[in-house]
Amino acid sequence: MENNTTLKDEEILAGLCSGKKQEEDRALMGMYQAYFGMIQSHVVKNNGSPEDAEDIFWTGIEAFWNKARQDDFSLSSTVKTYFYSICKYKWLEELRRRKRKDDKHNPLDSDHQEIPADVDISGEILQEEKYEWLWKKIRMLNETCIKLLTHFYVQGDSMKQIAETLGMSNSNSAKSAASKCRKQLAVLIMEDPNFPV
Amino acid sequence: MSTYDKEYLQEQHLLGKLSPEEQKAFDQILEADPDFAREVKAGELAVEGLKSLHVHNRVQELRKQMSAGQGEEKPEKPVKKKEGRVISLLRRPLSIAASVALLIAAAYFIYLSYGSQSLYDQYSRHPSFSVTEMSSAPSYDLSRAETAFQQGDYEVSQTELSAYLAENPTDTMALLFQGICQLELDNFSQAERIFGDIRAGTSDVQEQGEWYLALTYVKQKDTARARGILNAIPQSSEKYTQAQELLKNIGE
Repeated sequence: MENNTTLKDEEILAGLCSGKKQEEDRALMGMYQAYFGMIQSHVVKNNGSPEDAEDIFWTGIEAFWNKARQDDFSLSSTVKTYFYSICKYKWLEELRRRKRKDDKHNPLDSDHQEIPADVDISGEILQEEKYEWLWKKIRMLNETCIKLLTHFYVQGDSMKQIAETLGMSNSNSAKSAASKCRKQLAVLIMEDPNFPV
Repeated sequence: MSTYDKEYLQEQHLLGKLSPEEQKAFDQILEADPDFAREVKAGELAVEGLKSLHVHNRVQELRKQMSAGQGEEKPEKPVKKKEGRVISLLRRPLSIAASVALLIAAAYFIYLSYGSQSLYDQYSRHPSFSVTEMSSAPSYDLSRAETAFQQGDYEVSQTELSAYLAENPTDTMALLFQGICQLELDNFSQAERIFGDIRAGTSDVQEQGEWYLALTYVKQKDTARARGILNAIPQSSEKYTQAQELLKNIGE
């Protein structure tokens, strides 16, 4: 893994949205090096363990990445502020969950009570439930279908590249297989009673 | 507008590549055709799911790497090959001390060979990879997958099988071998999914799928789930005797 110097916000966002492993890794490593200490300090200061800090950091990374790749995403603050807010929110939710569970009060410091107004993390939980639901459908496909669709729709690879990577005879067979796989997934989604339309 | 055009427009829409003119045409069709609109919505959700799953997997992967090596790139996993052990015979006379040492070494060797053999190793006797049993195989060259499987090069075998399965996704025999490759490569979630699917179906390899699902849990030392599967294997199954034996061994 490459050791980064501090990355600019634009570099982090571009890396996360690139669909290319190397660039994603560079952005993620940049975030790890720049922000892990900050998140760890926050969690540990607020009744968490180093393991909790690690969990919160990585779930925060996942939430941030999912936000960043959305077409309508615009950063109204710095990546640092936004990411810190997500992790604070996640840790607050976790503390609330634990409090509900054992009904013991977990005192929160004043720093913990607020989430900056410029950071919209509403709908976070609903979003996670939606993802879980979709992953369940995706996992019903065979492994090759998943790889094929990921290469095409997530990584933006051409059919020619995909055919080479997956050892398929040519780009036409990759295209036809991708179309079948996408339709199969769409049917699985549409057949589910939770399908919103 | 033909089906082909709709298909094209939908794909460009999902890739975010519609030109302004295409966008206009696409919007018109969506308005006029509720079934198509429904299909597009499902397509959007599918892509959304694929992207979020990619993010999830990549984050998990990186987290694992960071925990294992503080961010250092781990060397590529070596190809697992099950090779026969070669024992050389000592022909020259040995002193007593040397004989004792040899005895200890032999005992240790026997322990390593059998005593420390995991339950998974004891029970994972894979069926022979037979191209002719695969439904569409004659039109597809699976010889590399077969050779690699026989040599224990599961990485290569599974890559070859993936390409075949992309065009023959319903070939359960190929899926079974794909699952075995994933299991040997310790890709447990993928193996679990494949064997789970086979187990839920009614194909000729359903019993094999069930057995391998149990072995997937055995290899992960998840005895509770392994027991659940093994206990459910019916007496009529060709795997019943082995399942009962494995159940006893798990209990020890």
